[in-house]
Amino acid sequence: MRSITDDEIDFILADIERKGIVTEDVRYNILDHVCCIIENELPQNGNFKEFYRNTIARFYKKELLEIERETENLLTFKYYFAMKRTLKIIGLLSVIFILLGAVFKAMHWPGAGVIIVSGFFFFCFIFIPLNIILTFRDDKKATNRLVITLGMILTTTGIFGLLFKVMHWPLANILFQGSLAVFGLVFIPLYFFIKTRNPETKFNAIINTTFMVAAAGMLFTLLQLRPSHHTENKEKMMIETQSFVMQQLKNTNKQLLLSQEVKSAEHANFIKISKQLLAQLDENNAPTALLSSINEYNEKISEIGDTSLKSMDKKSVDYLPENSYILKLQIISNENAYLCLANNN
Amino acid sequence: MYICSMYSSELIKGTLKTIVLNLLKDNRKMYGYEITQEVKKMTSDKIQITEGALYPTLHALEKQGDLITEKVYIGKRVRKYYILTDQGKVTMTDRVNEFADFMKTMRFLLDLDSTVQNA
Repeated sequence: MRSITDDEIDFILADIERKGIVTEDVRYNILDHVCCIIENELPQNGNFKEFYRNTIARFYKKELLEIERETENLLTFKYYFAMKRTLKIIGLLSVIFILLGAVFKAMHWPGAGVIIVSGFFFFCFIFIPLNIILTFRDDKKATNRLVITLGMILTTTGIFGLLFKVMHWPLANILFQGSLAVFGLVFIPLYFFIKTRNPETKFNAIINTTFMVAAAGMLFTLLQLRPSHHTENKEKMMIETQSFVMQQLKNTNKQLLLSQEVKSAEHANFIKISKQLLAQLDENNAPTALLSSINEYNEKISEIGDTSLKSMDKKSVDYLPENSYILKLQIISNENAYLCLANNN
Repeated sequence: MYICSMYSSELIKGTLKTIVLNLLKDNRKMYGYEITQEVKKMTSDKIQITEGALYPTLHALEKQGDLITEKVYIGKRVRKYYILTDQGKVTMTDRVNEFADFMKTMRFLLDLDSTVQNA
């Protein structure tokens, strides 16, 4: 039996490392195995390097790295079936939570936000990543992996856009419309060209592409929907009527102010606070500044204590500037009611 | 990549873990090269385990807790001896019984007994 030298061991180890084996255990296993073969099978006067080259070639089909990849594969997917089971459970949970959240949201019941966010969280952060991992295990083709990863990422961003929209959070439109644009302009053509190249998937690819184009088109049309002319006319008429009413009230208030002297400092103070609030609404002030003015205004109304004067709804600030008109109308009506009250006294 | 032998790889794919676990029974400890040589000798060269299949399987069995290892330093190199754990013994028994049952079913399914008698 031939005894292997330290230099030969160094040479083998360096070559194994050069061939890409990084896991220490795998590296030392291969080294010992090659050494055993050389010690047992290489004749005393045999050529070490040539024999080594032939021996190491027996370990793989294309490259030595196959051993490391196979080891990694066996270790990583030890929990393959557990992962598949988790995927099913999480998928079912996500669907239940999202549907339940949608019902709660539609009925304006408390807890809708928490349920819907949990559902989307399960779907985006557990279901989709697990799905990508399992698909990667089953499909080794780089192009197929690219398509599935892009598809899953777009699904996640699209769902986030939808979630942000439902929860009235910022950036909702950018997320949703951006995802839809990438889906239509990048994903669908990519999917079509990759999948139709394979005769086995060609027919299904054409059908799926048709469905995807139709769905993307319908979603895009929905996003571009504007109110009908009938609704627009009604809205226009309503605004005109409101403007007319407001103008009438303003004129009456002016006349009332002219017909009576300012009776007290309290009277002047109320008019001042009203004017200040109206100015802030006109300037679209920051909600915090507006809220402090509304508080001051409401305090004044409670001081006066007349039931014909209505306090301002603080929640309305959340929906500014769409409803600033209603707030202004309320202030002017209050001013009118106060002036009438003062006039009668 | 799996097992190089006179049998087709489809036929014996999946039996490597059973072969390795069974070789290590009776508290034997063996290293990789020794396992390949033992299988070769026992089957008169009919089954030759390739290194590309053996080491990933040994690592997986070790990770699963069916095997433990013992390192022995021989000069500049390290030799890993594989030893069956208590859990490994149970796995080995299960796998051997499963395979025996499978062979019985296949024998019946392919009607091998009557084929042998008729031959």
